[in-house]
Amino acid sequence: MKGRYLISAVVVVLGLLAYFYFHPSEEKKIKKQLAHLSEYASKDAGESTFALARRLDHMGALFADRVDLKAPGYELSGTHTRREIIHLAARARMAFSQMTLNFHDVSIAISGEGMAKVSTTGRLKGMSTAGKRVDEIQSLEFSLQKDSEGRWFFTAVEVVEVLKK
Amino acid sequence: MAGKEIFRRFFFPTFTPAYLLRVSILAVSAYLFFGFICIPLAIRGKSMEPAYRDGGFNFCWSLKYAFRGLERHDVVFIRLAGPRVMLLKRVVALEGEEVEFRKGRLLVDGREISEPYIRERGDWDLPPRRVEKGYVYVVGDSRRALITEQYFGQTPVGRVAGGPLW
Repeated sequence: MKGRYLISAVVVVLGLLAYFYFHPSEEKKIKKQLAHLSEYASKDAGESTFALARRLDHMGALFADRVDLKAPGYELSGTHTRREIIHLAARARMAFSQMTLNFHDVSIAISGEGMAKVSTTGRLKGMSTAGKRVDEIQSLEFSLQKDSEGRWFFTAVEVVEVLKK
Repeated sequence: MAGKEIFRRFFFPTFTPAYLLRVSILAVSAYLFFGFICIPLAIRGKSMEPAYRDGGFNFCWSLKYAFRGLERHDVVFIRLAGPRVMLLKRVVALEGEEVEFRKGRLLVDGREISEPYIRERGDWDLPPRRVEKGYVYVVGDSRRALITEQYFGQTPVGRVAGGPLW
């Protein structure tokens, strides 16, 4: 009798785990998109052209058709197509021989209409092609939109300006 | 004998309910104090040298401006990103004031401001600009680098997290 209860409990726990694994929350889905962005933006030392193309292709798939970019102090601000975003990312990556981009302190606010705002700390670490060590931290805000199939796409990226000259 | 007993009780305590309660209260108090009131921070970067050295350590005392407003020359921590990444800068102008740099000299409302904490003045030139309402203008003490390479400017007062403990 005791064994039957135990088996039932294990089945229930496994069922719950399977449910949460196959039905991730919206927050989890958004965090996964951020993790993908971090993975595809990062660059390994001696990255091959094939790996570069694959990563940029995957990165482009994370963005909506039109993306608003707001980066005070840089000449990137404006609305860009997905292709332009890929070009900008490729140009930025070319300045580094190796780099990693990580997101910390992720805070997500989801509105009812399939929109989400993400506030996070972006940390870019790496080595420039000129041999200079880079370690930059910025406060970032992302906007995402959900399509009819439940996938989230980045629609806006803003570098929060803390100090304005 | 008494010393030995204190030593034994300190390192090998008896886990009584009263002891666990004391430990819990201490842990929660330490978390609140060091997490929100007196936040330990490592200093990285040379923008506040010589007053605050790269690799140094300090605490952000968040109650520093609980009972008084910001003043010129105050050194402040500014929240940059997340709860633990902050900028350490010095307030050089307050809201409504006009700030400018001329050949490395700081001018506020057209008057030169003495900055005894500066070791190397540099030759910064920045046209006059008025500090917006609810903002303060902050700059690092190290002015060796080119003005284009330095991170400074006006920031909302709400972003000031406190001041260094020393």
